Amino acid sequence: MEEMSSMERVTAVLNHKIPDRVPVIFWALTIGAREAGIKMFEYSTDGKKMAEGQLNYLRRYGVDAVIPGSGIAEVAEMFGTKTKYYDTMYDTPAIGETVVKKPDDWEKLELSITPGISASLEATLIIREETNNEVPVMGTVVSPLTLATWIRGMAETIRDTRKNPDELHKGLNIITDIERDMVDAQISLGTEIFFMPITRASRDLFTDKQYKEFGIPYDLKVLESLKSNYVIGHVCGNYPMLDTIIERYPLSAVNWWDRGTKYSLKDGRDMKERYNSKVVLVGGLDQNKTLIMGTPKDVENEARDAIEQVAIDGEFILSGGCELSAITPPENILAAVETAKRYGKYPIGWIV
Amino acid sequence: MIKENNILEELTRLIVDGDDEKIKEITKKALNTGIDPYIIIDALNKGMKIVSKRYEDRDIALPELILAGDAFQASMDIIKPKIKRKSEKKVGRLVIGTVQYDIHTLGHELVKTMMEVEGFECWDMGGDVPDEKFIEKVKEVNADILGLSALMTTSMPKQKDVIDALKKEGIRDRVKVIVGGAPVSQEWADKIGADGYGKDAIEATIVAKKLLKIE
Ligand code: B12
Repeated sequence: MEEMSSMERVTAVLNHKIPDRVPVIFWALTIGAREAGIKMFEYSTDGKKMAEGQLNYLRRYGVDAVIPGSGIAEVAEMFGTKTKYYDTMYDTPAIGETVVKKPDDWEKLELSITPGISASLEATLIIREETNNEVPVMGTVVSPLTLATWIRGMAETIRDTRKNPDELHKGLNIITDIERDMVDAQISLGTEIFFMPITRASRDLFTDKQYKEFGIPYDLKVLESLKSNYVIGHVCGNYPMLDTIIERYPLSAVNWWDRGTKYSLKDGRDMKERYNSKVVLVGGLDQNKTLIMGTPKDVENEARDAIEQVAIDGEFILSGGCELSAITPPENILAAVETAKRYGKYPIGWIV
Repeated sequence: MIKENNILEELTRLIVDGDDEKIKEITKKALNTGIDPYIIIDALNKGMKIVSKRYEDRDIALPELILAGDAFQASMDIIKPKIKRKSEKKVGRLVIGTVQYDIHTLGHELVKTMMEVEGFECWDMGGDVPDEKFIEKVKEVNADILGLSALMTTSMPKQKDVIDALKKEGIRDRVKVIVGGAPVSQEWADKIGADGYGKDAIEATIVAKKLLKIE
């Protein structure tokens, strides 16, 4: 038996206290289908099956949190997109048809409750009950600009930034309001910790100037409604605007691809110092390489290196840099958790 | 002559600025002035190469790149009918698309645009393309090159499936296969038996031309 439950461990870290050991969390959505042994459609639309998949994932690997859901298509669908499911166990549902087809459609956006989101909410409640509230069951809230690109299409949204900025701003305002309502709904179901994909804050996708106009104001508005909750922000992409996020966003924790971008965990810690931030750093494992193609020993080495880089004073969660791929070998997930248990116990000394 | 140069320079600049409205007007003006369509295309190409280079150097972001592509297409739409009557100078026939279960299409669309810049005739299959659709198209248009894009680790194996399907159909040696997409690498290309790999759109054109032995 460990000293702390997952809930205690994760909230300790988010409250800047020293936990018993480094927690391990993945953004693990679609892997639930494999863990339940079912195809993606069933997993994505049936709350009981989704709960089963996520509970199996939780128990099999001993990770410290779950995030029910099946990916972006499920969230976009609430705004009216059509979802395309593949008849397999591993392939993420995709947005099959966008909903904002012309600039005028931006102001017509509204929310509808879909089988996907009902399944996620049902799964949330089931898992919470099954785990006696001892494991964080996280909620999801999405950066409005990210959502805009899902429901309009990436290229079309980009064209709107130039040709129809007013309509796009209208859409972003509506999305922001709807997101705030969704946050309230999740809070009323007992969700305290949120995961927020902020995936367009990447310099290969938008320049700082563009993100300042179409991204930041709306992100901050959403975060405003989450003031009394914990939020783990996930900045995606190959050139994350990590500096901006750490400087300006009121996040509890921040996750990025520290193994695949120019910012290592140590760089993240330097930025914290520079901006006088106490944000918890989340990452350390390469979800595209080591976790998928490496051996358990490779995963262990990478995890130990991450712990060595930044875990010593707490404020660290071991994780991947983006979604945990549904083809990640089970032994590699186990190796990550085992390493945290063996080498991530506090107090942490330098590993020699 | 000076006027011609001014028009051509303006076309290059409009590509770089990604102005797909003004460029239509200037393209028509260029054609009316009697400038050879191929010289106009050279001016457009120059713009696309500047933009691609700047993107690879991270001087600009995706919006500038996409808007430049739009401007390029807008101008080409006007020029194409004019060059149809001349003898086709196409250097090769490319079928390109994103593999099944993967809907990331922006990358291969840019590759397609740059291949057009280099004089290839292109068929864009879109995203989430089943293996057999690629095979059908390759046969139908008698393609020289097949470009397969995959942006996810979960969809990469599909590139191999398409190559295997070409073998099964007995047409593997009739077409060169190039692969690309963020998680794809030269090692992966070698492993699955592709003929080439391109890390970005410019490299894609270089590899394609090399494979077809075009100078
Ligand atoms: C835009 C985007 C989207 C858009 C795509 C819009 C569109 N129409 O293309 C949307 C929102 C739809 C999307 C959806 C998803 N996405 Co996405 N997306 C991206 C993002 C941010 C940018 C990709 C892009 O367009 N880049 C710009 C273009 C120009 O670059 P490129 O594609 O790399 O192409 C260049 C080269 O690779 C090369 N190239 C490309 N193709 C080819 C082909 C040939 C033959 C050659 C030679 C060269 C070549 O040349 C191109 C030009 O230089 C990337 C992250 C990133 N920064 O790469 C994630 C990313 C690809 N997505 C990812 C994920 C997980 C998803 C989803 C599964 C999300 C989810 N959980 O639901 C879904 C996919 C569903 C599905 N079944 O397909 C992951 C993939 C992770 C993995 N498993 O490997 C990425 C890497 C993000 C991340 N860091 O985790 N996404």
